[in-house]
Amino acid sequence: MLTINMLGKVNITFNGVSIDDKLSQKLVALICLLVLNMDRDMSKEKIASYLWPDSKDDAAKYNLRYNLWMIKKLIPQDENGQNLIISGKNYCRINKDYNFYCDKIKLDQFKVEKQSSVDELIKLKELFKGDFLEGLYLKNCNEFNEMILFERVVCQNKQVEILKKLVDLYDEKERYEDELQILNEIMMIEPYNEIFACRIMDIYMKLGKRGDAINYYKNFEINLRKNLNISPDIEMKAFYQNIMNSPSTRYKPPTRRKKIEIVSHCIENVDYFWVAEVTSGILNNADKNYILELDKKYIFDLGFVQNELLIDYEKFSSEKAEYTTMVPSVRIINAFYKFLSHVSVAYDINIRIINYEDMDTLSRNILNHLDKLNLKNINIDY
Amino acid sequence: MKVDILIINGRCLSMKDNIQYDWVAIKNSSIHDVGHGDEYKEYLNKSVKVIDANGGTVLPGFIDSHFHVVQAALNSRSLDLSSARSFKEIGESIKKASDASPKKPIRGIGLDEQNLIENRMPDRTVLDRYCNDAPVFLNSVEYQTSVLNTYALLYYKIPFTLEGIDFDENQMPTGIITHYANVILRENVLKNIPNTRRMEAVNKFLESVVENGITTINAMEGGRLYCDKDAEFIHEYADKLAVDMVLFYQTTDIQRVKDMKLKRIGGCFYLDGTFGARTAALSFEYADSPGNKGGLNFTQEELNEFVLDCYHNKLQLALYTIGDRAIEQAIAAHEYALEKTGNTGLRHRLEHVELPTDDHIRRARELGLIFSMSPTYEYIWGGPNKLYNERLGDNYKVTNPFKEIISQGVVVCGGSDCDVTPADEILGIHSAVNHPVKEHRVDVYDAIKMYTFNGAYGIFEEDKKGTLEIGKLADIVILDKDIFNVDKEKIKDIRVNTTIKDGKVIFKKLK
Repeated sequence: MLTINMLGKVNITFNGVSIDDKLSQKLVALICLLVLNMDRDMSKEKIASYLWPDSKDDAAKYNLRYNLWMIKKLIPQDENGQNLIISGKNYCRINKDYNFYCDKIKLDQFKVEKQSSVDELIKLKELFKGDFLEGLYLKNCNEFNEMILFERVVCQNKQVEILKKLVDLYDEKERYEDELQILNEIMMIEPYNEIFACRIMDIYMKLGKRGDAINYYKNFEINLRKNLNISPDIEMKAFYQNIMNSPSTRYKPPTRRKKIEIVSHCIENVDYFWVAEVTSGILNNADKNYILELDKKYIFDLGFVQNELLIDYEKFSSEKAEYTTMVPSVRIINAFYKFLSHVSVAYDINIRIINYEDMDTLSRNILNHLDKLNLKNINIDY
Repeated sequence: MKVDILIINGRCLSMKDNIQYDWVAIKNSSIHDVGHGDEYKEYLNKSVKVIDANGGTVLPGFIDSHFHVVQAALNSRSLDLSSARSFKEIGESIKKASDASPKKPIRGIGLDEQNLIENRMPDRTVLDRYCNDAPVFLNSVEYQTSVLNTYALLYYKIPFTLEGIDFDENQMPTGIITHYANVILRENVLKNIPNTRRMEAVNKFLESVVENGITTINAMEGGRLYCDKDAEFIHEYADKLAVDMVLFYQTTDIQRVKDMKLKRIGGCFYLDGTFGARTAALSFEYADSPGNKGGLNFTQEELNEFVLDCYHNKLQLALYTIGDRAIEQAIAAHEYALEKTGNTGLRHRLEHVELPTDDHIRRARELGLIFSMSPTYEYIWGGPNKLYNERLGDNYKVTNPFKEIISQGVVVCGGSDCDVTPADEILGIHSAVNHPVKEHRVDVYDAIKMYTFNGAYGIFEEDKKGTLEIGKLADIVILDKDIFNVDKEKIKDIRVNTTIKDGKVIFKKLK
């Protein structure tokens, strides 16, 4: 069977064998022109004006005759003995009875307003291998080139419509993973579309992937800033804030435990310096989403000695942290212990102390205390 | 002791404590010795290469602190349409390019509809009349608009469904592309330029750069209206280029920058726009556009958060600011981040900083901010009856106040912003010394310092570059005249005789 693919670089096969290398650009253009006008006879004069506008009448007619003959030669009759082209004295057209397939004809049958099934839409979506008649341009054939341009716009619009319909159908059927995939395809075409970006975040939330929703927003925001130097619009920001304010799904410790190596330093006479170093090291190496699930009272207490914790808390929770001027030592010790205990649930932590002899007194007391408690999954090397 | 190169008979400015020498000796890639009179004779032998400076000034190699390397290089191979005044002139330029290189894609830059008698952009039908057998891709002066012929519309991947495609009454694309569609189109076109072509263009372009004595460039690459592939290119191939490249990746993607192990971020990280396009954020109305004060691209909260992230990640940050409102926003964000983190010593920079107030300068000094400025702007657009005067009215008198900034203790480094202005540091020095407003003029020494020591300081390289001192890298430039003995108005006519990079002569002017 003859197959003509126009959605991408033109590809014509007969019984599965490509005949592209035997076809000149003009010949391909002639076939495409006739297929696009297959509902009607085309006058030979009109075809000549499309494809040989600079040639004199006789030469143009000869060229057309020659190309029609070439088509007949290169594209055999179908199994019912039909020829692809019916050619009269002044007109010619595609033979509707000829058994052939064309992706563009298939696409033209799609009507946005008509209801379609998921399977139908997937088949239509898969028709697109690239732009309509990609790579085809005929010098001086303005009418023909205009036609390509026009159809290219039409096809791109249809592609987006098909994807949008598919998204809606998947949404109705609650097939969120599939919906996500199609939304990502739309975003490849319309990378700054905030409506679809919000839908993607929404689906991540429906799938219980809050972290992915947040990361998606952040990447989207980076791209908007990078390429357009704008921020997301108010609705999208509000949507993001809703996600940030919604309760996080509990972090599941990884099945394969992760290791964290921390190198810490000490400064004599600077209170809690070592504690602050370790806190910062863990904060910058472990999953912050998880760390910040620690009770906020402990976060605020420990944040007194390491304000990076408070900064991250504000960023991740969108709540103001409590900046206190004084926290009793006993609360800092307890907060540090709770912090390490919490992190050690998900991580194996190895803390190396470089200059132990310079450790400040308060940190040294805490370290002694930790030694006695013998915390699981935490190794302190000094 | 053997040395490789001896530079004699020069006014060798160390650029440190105002010390001068008569000669400099180079061994391998470093400055081996410096001195006065004929002490250099101990180094004379058959193998030493002696360069007679003939009384010309000898300086540390110039450091250009703001330079768009890849785009400047690619643009140098494009059709410059900035002087076109009509469709016909545009068309004739295209036709000429097409005749010279048949069937090769044509890229034009600098198209400005305000210069055209038609007072609008040409559409594809206009371009088709002059070239219809190769893609023609024209960029407006600030890259916000692209114009394509029909061939190019079919040749490049055009996102027809996006905002920014201009359609005629028959719903056919006119070839004029703006907004989102222009961003995608530019990205498609620029990212498809192979790195071999980038390398070819950059190498060729750098020939003219070293002729102007530049040995180190702060390469502002990637991001909006540029191409991330340019930044990746510089990152990957910096060590294969004739001059040192210090990459400033123009992105907000801190993670990406950290993954690339860069120590800095930003460059043309636009907080506002330009005076030319009346988009720089001012506290007053544009003189030629009543009601318009330009605009900011960030809210204060957004910028605070980003700047805080940079402090937190200990990245040196360069923010683009032109108008006083943008400068205020940048300084406020730095104050916020400093208060939150206490992190100092990262030598954050503001790029261009054209309209700072006294208060801005004082607060910038307290924050330790560096001003990376482009003095040549004043030469081209400053002073009465020029662009700044048209746009800002009498406020043109307060743009780029170099003298006040330096006297208040803010470090100013100089950049050409090439290819917005030429890669010509001597013109930059000339422009700072001859600022159209007398009070803002600096002396020659301070102007040179912007392009040498301060340039090195701006990238944490003052330990190896920026001064002529024993042990420093032998990046040296020899001028054909003594810059201190030339009329100030003629500084721009001084040329570079010799450029030495890492102890090797990479440019010598033919006699």
